[in-house]
Formats: sequence, structure tokens, C-alpha cells
Amino acid sequence: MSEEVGEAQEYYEKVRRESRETIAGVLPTIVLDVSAAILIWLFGKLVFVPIAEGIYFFGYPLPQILNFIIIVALAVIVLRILIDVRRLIDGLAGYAACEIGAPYEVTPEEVEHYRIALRGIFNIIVVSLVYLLFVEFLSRIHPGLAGVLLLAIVIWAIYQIWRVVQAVSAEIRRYTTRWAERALGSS
Amino acid sequence: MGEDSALPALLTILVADLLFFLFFGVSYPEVFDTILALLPWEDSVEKAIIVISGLIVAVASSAAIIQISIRKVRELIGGEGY
Repeated sequence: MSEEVGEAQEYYEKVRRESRETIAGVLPTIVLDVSAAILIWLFGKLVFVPIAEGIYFFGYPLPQILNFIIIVALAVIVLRILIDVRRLIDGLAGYAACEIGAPYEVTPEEVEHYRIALRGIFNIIVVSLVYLLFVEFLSRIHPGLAGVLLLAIVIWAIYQIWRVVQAVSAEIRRYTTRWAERALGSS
Repeated sequence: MGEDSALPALLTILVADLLFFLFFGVSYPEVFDTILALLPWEDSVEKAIIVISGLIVAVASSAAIIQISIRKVRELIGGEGY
């Protein structure tokens, strides 16, 4: 029995330590990458695209070429941000499980539920923000691109919300079962 | 060039690049056109090449600045015992 408690305590400490290290390491990288993406988007939109209006480069309209360059640069940065956000969510899920769950009773299943829930919510927020960042450049290349992408994002977001609800309801079920066992046991 | 001197150099390149295009390209396009008229090639092509190079310089210098800043922040965090 004491061996089980010792293992649970060890797992709790490990998850807590690793989560803190992950959050501390990844958060500044995300902030800087987001700043770079906003900076590139701003000077593309405010400086270079206005200058390029009405200019043709060997027959191709220059604003479209510039939009393509900006999209490629933003795509690389956004990909990096997404990878880091996934790592951050893993860290946050572990930390949330340690903070919300009862001390020394954190299980890998509980961490996984928090991970799925947080990942789903963060993914929806991040993808929506990324769409807002790209929508203007995509519309300038072809107006249909933005519409098709929005449709795909809406369908994907519904699936993500369904997964989040499943994960959260599993945790609620676990807590209510434990509460009912305690309540019935004490009466 | 060390990282300590690379960061101010990259910042100077980025600011100079943006200021050049902001002032001459957006605020005073007639001055920009006069500068282009002094060059020997066709106006449209040389303007396109200048704008594309300006954008590439801005994107590359921003990416390098962020890369160096991330490395510095990681060193700082690593040094604090995380």
C-alpha cells in the first residue's frame, strides 16, 4: 500500500516538475515567434503591398508575388508556433492535473484527459487566429480559397469541441463517482 | 561577428529598410519614382526588384532577430536553473 502511495507521489512530482520546465522553456519562444509573425504581417500589409499596387514583374502583378512571399514566411513561423503550442499544452495539462486534481492522486489517464481538453481549446483558438492572419493574403490570391478554408475550419472545430466535451465529461464522471462513493461510504 | 554585435546590426538593417520604404515608397512616392528614374533599367522591373528585395531583407532580418532573441532567452532561462 505504502509502495503504491510512493509511486503515485513520485509520478505527481515528476509530472509537476516536467510541466513547469516545459512551460518555462516554451512560453518565451511562442511570444517571440508571435511577435515575428505580427511584425512580418504588419510591414507586408502597411509598407510593401501598398507600394506594389499597379506594378507588374515580367507580366505578373507584384502584390500577388509579395503576398506569396509573406504567406510562405508566415507559414514557416506559424508552423513553429504550432509545434511550440502543442508542447506548451502538454505542460499546461500536466500542471492543471496536478493543481486541480487531488494531491498525489494524479493518474496518466487524468493528465491525458486534461491534455485532450486543453489541446482542443487551444487548437481552435490558434487556428482561428492563424486564419485571420492569412485570410487577407489568401483572398488576394483567390477569393474562393478563404471560403473553402473557413468551411474546413468550421467542420474541424466542431469535431474538436466534441472531443473536448468527451474528455471533460470523463473527468466530471470520475469526480462525481468518487464523491458518490465517499458520500455513500460515510453514511 | 559575435551574437552581441549581430543583434544591433540586424535591427539597424531592418529599421533602415522599413524607413526607406515607408518614407520614400508610401509617404513620398514621387521621390521614390525620381530615384528609380535615375537607374538605367525599365522603371517597372527595377521597382519590382527593389520592392521584392526590400521585403526579403525585412523578412530575413526579422527572422534572424527572433532566432537570436530566442537563443538569448533560452540561455537566460537555462542560467536561472529551470
